[in-house]
Amino acid sequence: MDDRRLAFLLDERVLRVEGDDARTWLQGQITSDIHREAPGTSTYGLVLVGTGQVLADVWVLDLGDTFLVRSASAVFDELVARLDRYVVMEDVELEPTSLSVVHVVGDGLELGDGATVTDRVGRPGVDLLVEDASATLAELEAAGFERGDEATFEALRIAAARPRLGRDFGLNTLPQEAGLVGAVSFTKGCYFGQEPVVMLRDRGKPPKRLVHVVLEAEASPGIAVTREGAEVGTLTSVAGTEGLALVKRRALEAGDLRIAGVEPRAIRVIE
Amino acid sequence: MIELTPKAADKVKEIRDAEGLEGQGLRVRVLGGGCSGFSYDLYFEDETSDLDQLFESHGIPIYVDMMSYQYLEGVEIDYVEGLHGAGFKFLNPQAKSTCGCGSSFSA
Repeated sequence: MDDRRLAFLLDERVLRVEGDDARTWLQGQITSDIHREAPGTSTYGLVLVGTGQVLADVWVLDLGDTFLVRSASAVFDELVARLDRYVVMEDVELEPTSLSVVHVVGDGLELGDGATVTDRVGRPGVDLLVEDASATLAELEAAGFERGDEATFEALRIAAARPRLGRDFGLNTLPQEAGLVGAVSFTKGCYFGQEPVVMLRDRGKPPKRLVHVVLEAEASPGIAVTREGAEVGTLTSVAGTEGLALVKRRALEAGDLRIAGVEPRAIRVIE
Repeated sequence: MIELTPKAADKVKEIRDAEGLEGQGLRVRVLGGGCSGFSYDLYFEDETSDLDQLFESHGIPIYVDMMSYQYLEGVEIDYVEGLHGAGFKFLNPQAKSTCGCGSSFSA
């Protein structure tokens, strides 16, 4: 178990959602149930397109009257445009902020203002939502936290089988295909994109599955997963000899998969 | 224009009278949410604002704010009863699709 004390500056942006109708409106936009959580907590959820695939994954910090929604910078503008389209006459204001997100793992953290518990790399951690990321990182380094780079973040989250938007899932995957069922509430009521997700749960099986693989040798993302010479999937993320791959379910069930022509040492479906 | 079918108008009058809301109009709104992105909202109200479009159908005043009206122009509101339940049904020429229960639509 990696027990290093690490601080990561995430490539994310923060949207402020506020107004008298913010809570009920936001509840109708994301897959998770923000009504169930107490103010001060962060909830992981998904924003889907109408056909059920994932536009963005979000961490939603509930501050009572206001919500701070964090999402990957690459999809942030599209996410805001999409959310804005569905504010009609509700009392809801969407305001992109200049806040940065620093994720910290390891012992010795105290939760202060702008800090909220999250679980991004398979270890208990905290998101700090700060105006001055450089100053926060400097303070953390002075307190003994090592600055974690992209490769370290990737290694941790891949080892913990945490899928990442734009690499392991996105507009090509339904939540159930990408091991994201935990981000979906099946009891909260309607949200955008709900019907295909519920239909898949009740009537079918995911056409693809995201799997965690242990490789014989290092490989590159994008390499095909094959079965009897036919392409049945893609390696979507790699760190060393561990990776995540999106594979056709039927091929997965049939077994005998190859990645770069070699049988992986282990394959585990991410539920 | 927004219209009620005769059956829907009768049901609106029945509910209005049962609840002692004589003289009030029917507020029709669109909200963000529901399986298909937008959902309908209906309730009685006795106040209108400058931002409202005002209609009348079978003696029922109908109030619609301008933001909602862009998604509601041409809507006919019916009342249906069936084995699966009863309720108001929106026939919306602007809806590209509706969810299974019909309460949410995309535009």
